[in-house]
Amino acid sequence: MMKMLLTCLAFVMAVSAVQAEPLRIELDSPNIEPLPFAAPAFIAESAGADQYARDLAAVVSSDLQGSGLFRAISQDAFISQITSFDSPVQYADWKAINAQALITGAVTTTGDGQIVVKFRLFDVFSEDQMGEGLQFVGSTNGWRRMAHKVADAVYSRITGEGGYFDSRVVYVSETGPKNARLKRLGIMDYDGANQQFLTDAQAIVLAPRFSPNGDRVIYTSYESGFPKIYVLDVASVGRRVLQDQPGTMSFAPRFAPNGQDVVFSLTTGSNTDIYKLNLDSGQRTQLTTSPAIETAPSYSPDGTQIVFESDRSGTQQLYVMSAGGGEATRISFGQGRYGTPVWSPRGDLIAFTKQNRGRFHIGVMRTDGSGERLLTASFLDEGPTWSPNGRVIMFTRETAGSGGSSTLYSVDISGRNLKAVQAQASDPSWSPLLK
Amino acid sequence: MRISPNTGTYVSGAGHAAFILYLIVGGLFVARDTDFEVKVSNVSIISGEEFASMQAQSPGEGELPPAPEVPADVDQPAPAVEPETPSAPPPTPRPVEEVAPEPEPVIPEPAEAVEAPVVPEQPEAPDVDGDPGDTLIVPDAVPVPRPAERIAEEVVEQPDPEVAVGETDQAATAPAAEPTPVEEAQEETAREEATTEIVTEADEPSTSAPTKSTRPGRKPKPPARPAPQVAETPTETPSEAPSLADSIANAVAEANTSTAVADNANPGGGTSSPITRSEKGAFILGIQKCWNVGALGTDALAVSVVVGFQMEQNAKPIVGSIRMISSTGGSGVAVEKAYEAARRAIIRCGASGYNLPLDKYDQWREVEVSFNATKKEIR
Repeated sequence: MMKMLLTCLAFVMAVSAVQAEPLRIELDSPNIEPLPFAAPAFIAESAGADQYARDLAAVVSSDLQGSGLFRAISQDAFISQITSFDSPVQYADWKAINAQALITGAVTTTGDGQIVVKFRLFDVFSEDQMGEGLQFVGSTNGWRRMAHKVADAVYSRITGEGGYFDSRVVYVSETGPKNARLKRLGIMDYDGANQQFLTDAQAIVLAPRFSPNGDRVIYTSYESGFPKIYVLDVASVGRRVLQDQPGTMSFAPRFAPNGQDVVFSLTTGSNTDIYKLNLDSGQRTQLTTSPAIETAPSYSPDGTQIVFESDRSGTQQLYVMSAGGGEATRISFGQGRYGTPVWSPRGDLIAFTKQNRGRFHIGVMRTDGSGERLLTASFLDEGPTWSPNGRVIMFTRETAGSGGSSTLYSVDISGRNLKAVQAQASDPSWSPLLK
Repeated sequence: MRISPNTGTYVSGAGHAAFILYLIVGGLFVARDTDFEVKVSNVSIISGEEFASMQAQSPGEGELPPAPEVPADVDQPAPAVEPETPSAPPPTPRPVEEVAPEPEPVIPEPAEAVEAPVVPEQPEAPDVDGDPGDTLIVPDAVPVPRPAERIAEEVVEQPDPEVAVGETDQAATAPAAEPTPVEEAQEETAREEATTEIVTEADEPSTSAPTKSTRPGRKPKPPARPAPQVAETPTETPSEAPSLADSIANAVAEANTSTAVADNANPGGGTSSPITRSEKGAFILGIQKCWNVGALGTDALAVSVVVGFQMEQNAKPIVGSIRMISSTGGSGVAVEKAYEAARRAIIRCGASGYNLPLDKYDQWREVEVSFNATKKEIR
């Protein structure tokens, strides 16, 4: 009797359990494809804003599609048009063309040379707006920056990580034949637009690097006949030389995250070591004492460590040491030579140049040297620099031969989306996101 | 002892006499192996007129075996060629010109042979441009040795049927315009397709980079047996009264199994037979083909989310019921973006209803999907 009762009780429990039990499945093989989005021309809400409306939408589309993470749907495929910034979205029309994100915007020009740009982002299949609408106000000359900011916001809302479109790149512009090349500092938007020159071509310049907030550039110049380090103010283009010690060569400078310290290489006699210089006090500290050649220092984002290259082991390898100097730990152990390490702004990876078997590569590895991945390969790839969000690397690619030239390229850290950015240019340095 | 000068003559004469005698009578004592069999057949003599009339007759009508007709010989290979061109009507005898492709398997085109060995085609290559979900049919990314008649030290997958088997991988070379004795035409051979790492521009030119990549899907797990799910709870309780607890557990398990297998009344009006493995697999594919993480940040890619939702009886998800049940890894923003990508997948692919057995609605009324992109090698 007892057993029968228990069986009935168990049966009731089991039936209720089965009916409440959801169907459980597991997915672990996602697709990795650019997300299709639609960006109709922005609405011109005032006279004279038509051109801005079209151009803004075009730049936003170009930014997103250029990241390799998004795919712009041709406007020819649009079923419905956005006629008003506040009109309801016809989701069915956008679903029909498989637009998973929809960007709507509007532009207004004011009488004092200002424009107002506002936008909204929609998740089409969820039929919901992603985040609140945003509005930017700026001068008409800065309309591209506002487009970049819209693209950054869209990028961030969908990917969950910061954007990098509203940023600039300082580089070395190279013109003329290879044996008589003229080099000067140039600066441009991340996408190659709005180029300007910061120096003339009277002296060879090398390795420009942005300060942490992007207001200054530190670089090496042969203006005096010897390599010396200069600091240039981007706004005023004024510059000054750092400590000038006769009989020495200083090069490969880079700012510390605090913006006040600078690390660089200094050659005295036949020895090259890494030094730190405080820009305010002028105090100089020697960080390495090895008889080897040690150069290309780069701070970790938190400023506690420095990665650099050294041939102290006999071949050019990467080492990490404390920001105050001292014992260094070798982190590169693969075949070939490693150089120009740069710490990612996210702090998780180190980008580097690798030379192996007559080919040059841009690669990344974890900060302990593990997980090395080569992203590119060519006759000569070198000098990586990170995008502000740590997702993209820009570098120099030089072609072979007497007529060879240098071009700036960018590549996603996954190794995808390799593309040329700017011809006749080398040694890029990516700024942080502009304010 | 004196020897007669004629002794040699006598000995020679006696020897010759004995040899001659052997030739004459020796055959009587030796069996002959050559037994010639003489075949005898009847023949008839014909006249010249009869022979001429016989030649004028058709060969098939004669007594000699009929020679194969020329048209029959040409048509003979035709059925073997026709399967390569499915659109051609098979029964119609083909003229000689249409049978010409027959030699193709014997003498491959040089141009094709040069290009072929670089990337041997997979026997069951997934349709890259097609439905991404199709790739999930591939059971596992790990190469599994196939049953093969040949045993070797290393596993070699089935090569392209058009490629000859060789000791090593070898590209087919076309004969030179001016043939030299050194460069002979070689047959194309190939080894298995393999990869050891992510192919980036460092390894391949950008022009050959894929525009999209999908990972071979894992073989769908077999449907969870109902009994262990229910049995978990009793087994985790302290067994202070083993006999009673065991009885309950056994009874629950037994009853649960029986309810899962047998038909029972349910509000959905369908049967309660368990969802089969293929039905579950089809459902997985149905969601997975819309699950795109290509626009997620690296942090969000390290997040695994479990999303629950309810279904209508027409197998469409109820959008308002979609909710995140749990997540692992990543920051709050990363979790949010991973969930949004999962939610989009559920809604997008469920817009026209998932491929589920409608008569088993009671078993998929509530669904929990684990979206785990962490195994995907992206970074």
